[in-house]
Amino acid sequence: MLDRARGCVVKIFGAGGFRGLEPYQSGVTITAEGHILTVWSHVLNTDFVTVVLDDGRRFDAEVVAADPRHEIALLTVDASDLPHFDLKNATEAPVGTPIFALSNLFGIASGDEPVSVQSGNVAARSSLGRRLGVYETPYQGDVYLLDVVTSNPGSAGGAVIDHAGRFVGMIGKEMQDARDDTWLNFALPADELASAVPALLGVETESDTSKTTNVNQPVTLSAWGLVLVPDVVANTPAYIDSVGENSAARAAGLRPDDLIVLVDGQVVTSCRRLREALEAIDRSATVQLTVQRGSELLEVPLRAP
Amino acid sequence: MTRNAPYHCRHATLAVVALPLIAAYFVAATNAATTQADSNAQAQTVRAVAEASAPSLVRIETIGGIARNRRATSGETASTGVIVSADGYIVVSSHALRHNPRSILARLEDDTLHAATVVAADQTREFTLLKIDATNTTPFATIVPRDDLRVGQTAIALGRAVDQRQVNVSVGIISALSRAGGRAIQTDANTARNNYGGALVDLQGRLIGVVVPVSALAGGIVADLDLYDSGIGFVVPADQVFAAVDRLKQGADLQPGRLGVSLVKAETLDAPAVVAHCRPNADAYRQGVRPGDRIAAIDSLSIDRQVLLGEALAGRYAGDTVSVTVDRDGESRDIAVKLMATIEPYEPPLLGILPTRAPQSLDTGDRDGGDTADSPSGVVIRRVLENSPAAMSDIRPGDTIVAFAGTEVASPAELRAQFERQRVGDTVVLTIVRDGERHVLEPTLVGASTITEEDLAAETTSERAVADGNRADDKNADENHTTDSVADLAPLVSLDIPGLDAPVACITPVDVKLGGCGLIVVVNAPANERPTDADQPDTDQSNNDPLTAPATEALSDWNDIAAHQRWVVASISVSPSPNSEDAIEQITQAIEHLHAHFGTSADRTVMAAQGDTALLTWQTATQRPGLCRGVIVIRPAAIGPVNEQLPGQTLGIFLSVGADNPLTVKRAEAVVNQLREWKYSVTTAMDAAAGVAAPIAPNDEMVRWLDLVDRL
Repeated sequence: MLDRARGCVVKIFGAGGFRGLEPYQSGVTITAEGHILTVWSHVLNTDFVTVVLDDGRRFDAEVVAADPRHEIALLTVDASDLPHFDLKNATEAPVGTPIFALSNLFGIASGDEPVSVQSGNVAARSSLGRRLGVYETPYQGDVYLLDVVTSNPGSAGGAVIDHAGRFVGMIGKEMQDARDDTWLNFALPADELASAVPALLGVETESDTSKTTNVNQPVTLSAWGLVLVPDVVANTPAYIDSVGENSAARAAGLRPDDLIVLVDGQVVTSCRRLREALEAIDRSATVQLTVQRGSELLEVPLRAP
Repeated sequence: MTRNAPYHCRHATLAVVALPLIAAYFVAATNAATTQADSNAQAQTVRAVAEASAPSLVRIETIGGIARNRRATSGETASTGVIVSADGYIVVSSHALRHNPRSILARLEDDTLHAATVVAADQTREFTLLKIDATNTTPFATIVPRDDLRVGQTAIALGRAVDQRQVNVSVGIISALSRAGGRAIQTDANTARNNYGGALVDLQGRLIGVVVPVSALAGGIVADLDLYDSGIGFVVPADQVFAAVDRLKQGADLQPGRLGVSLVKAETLDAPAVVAHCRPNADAYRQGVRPGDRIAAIDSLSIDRQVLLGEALAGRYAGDTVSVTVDRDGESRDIAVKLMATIEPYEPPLLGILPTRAPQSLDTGDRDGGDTADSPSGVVIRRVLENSPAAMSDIRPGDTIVAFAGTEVASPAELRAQFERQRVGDTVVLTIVRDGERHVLEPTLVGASTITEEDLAAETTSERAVADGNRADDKNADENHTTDSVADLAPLVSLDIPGLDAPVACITPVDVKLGGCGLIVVVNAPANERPTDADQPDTDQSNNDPLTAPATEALSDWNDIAAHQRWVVASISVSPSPNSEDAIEQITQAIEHLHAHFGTSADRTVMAAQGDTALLTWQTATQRPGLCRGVIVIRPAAIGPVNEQLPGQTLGIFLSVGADNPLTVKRAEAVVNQLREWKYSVTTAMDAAAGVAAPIAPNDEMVRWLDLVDRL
């Protein structure tokens, strides 16, 4: 089973090789006709991308399409009858599912050597979008968090399969949590990929741009009549300094020294995070604030006049 | 992805759903080849365990606070708390609160948000007890006793840090059962730092422990998170967590318990745990543990090697009482000792009196016979220090102390023996005789270092009325007495002392044979090892060349103090290589020889030295505790090491630094601070004399210090 799966994972060589940017990564074949799905990265940023199959055959590859929202790219090589993962037969992997991760981590496999196999579990399925600003990626959809260290040079683009050999997802690029420096071991779920690939292949699909929220006139604190304490340190908690007379905030019962802890159910850890959260909310919306007063938490719906 | 279904009766669910799957998993796992069925069984088991545990896992988020460093959590990362009671107690890794947040929010499985307050922290195991205002929280129902765990068994780390909506899992094994002195279990399940505080459970969903970054390294302090994704994770065993929670509910932090002993340096790995030093303020000392004792067992756990002592105590809390079995002189005894969180340096107590230096009769054999109404036995007070406990309870110069703390005292030595049993803050009952009448006074002793230089310097008019011994105190007397003092000029004596190359020059009071004199030992480098003029280019030595001056001449400056304050002053030459056992032994022998010869007392024995020799003198004083009462160090090249004082073996220090050498002054400041931290009484002065080569001569400050050296 693993032999067959390894036949579907290729080694990709391209740009890089300086400043800690390795010039290689992994990819998966998704058609018999030489379509290779991989992660969009600096490696592909060259006219000369080489793909090496597990039987040692080398091909010059062409980058035919890229999806900046998923940060994935489609390559083609001039080959046929390739073993491949059929995205239509891909599977979901609930938390706790034992998985194998197949990739050319650290570029260990050379020539006709197949890629390396790691073993682990699905730790969680979670949305990167729920942690806006934490990762440097435009992708906000779901990912599988993996209980195995896949955050390695060369791993990106590799395959995650379950123990039945079914395609579960594609290993994501190396990504570090901006808040605590932890490296994220994750894979793009097969279902997310399956919905993105038709567009890459040139098949018409409905435009998906509506998903990006585009707020013309975001709500502001001053529109509510709120002034926060001076944002002097890196992590200033969002304490209310003053509440304007005849303001929406006063009418809602907010008081100085209340600590704003949630905006629409999402924790805001600082003044800065609060302002970032508000930028994504339209002025006309009713916002659910949660404030801490002493040890009490109060729900306060607010709407700008 | 689906939300976990709410569990109305999660234990039943666990029993019904999980157990058959576990059985299936184990049966399947016995086959050599992993099959898809195994995988499915494992996946389902893990999911069942995660779902069953979900109600007991809360997401912890914090607001505000300052991250200690970039590598650590900046305070914005969520963590996981483990519910430990039905009334809202939650255990979380202290790591998650390291940045001291302004607000801690706990989100339960039902998505309700609660403000949490810190109850107290277990500082030995790095977790913190939180409380939320809720009465329907679901603790883990079952824990795994540590004895039931086996290395290699499957363990699942669970958290809610990744996503509130579902429990994140990491499957691993138990890697070790006892780490960090028994405080932690080790696992290779992923306990990445934002999962610290989560739970480790077994395949039946029973709580193994709570994930914390306890390190097995460096004495078991917090691992600086370097191990977290190396397959090394730590959990505090569940039984220890719950035991601590009961205590933490009182609201006070649990701190590591210290015994307060240091051990004789081990030459081999199997060296026994022999006590080198026992902190006087530790309960161990109060209960009778002493240097030289071999610690054989703690709570009947045998301590065959030194390393076992640390392990036996590593998990214990301050306030715990342990039974320490010590072997002393071939006898074994059990001593109940309370472990302590902090042990203050020993500070000798101070009453604020100077006992008389009246010469004792050399024939002290029949003290009983001498105890008559005419000459009441006791200790006459010659001086009372300003603002001291003695002054405040109206003890006056001329009073005779006849009983101290319930024991009769006939001599200064007996008074001192009683006094040294007291501690700072003790109220002592003492009986004095004044004008033939007995008075009982109850002064409260203060720390010896708390009295100010001013109070030490202040001399009350009343004290002049009291003679020092049976001689007038000429220093403070009028001119008539001063002319008399010429007759008191001390005679010069030259002594051959075994072990010393050169004869020792001494000056003594004329009545030295009456006893009760103090001893000042001036330690010099041998003539050929002293610094030469080349080292001191600024020094005018035209009429004072120590290279040729006889040692006796160097003592001439001491004549006055020898005669009038009853000191024997001896000058010895010892090669000043630091830490030289031989040199220390030479000085010790010389002092003991001088005591035997002159009948001088250790209570008033002082060593004086300068430069390199000062360091040797310091080391002699600290390595031979009780040998002398004070040291005079002038322009020391260095002082160290600084160790804790012991009751009855305290040391006063007169430190004089050269004004011409700023480096020395700066270094001296650091040394003085260190000495004061260890509660030594230090008097500092600027040395006006130019150059190390000049012989040590007493100045006014030194004379005043010498006069106070035997204060109680």
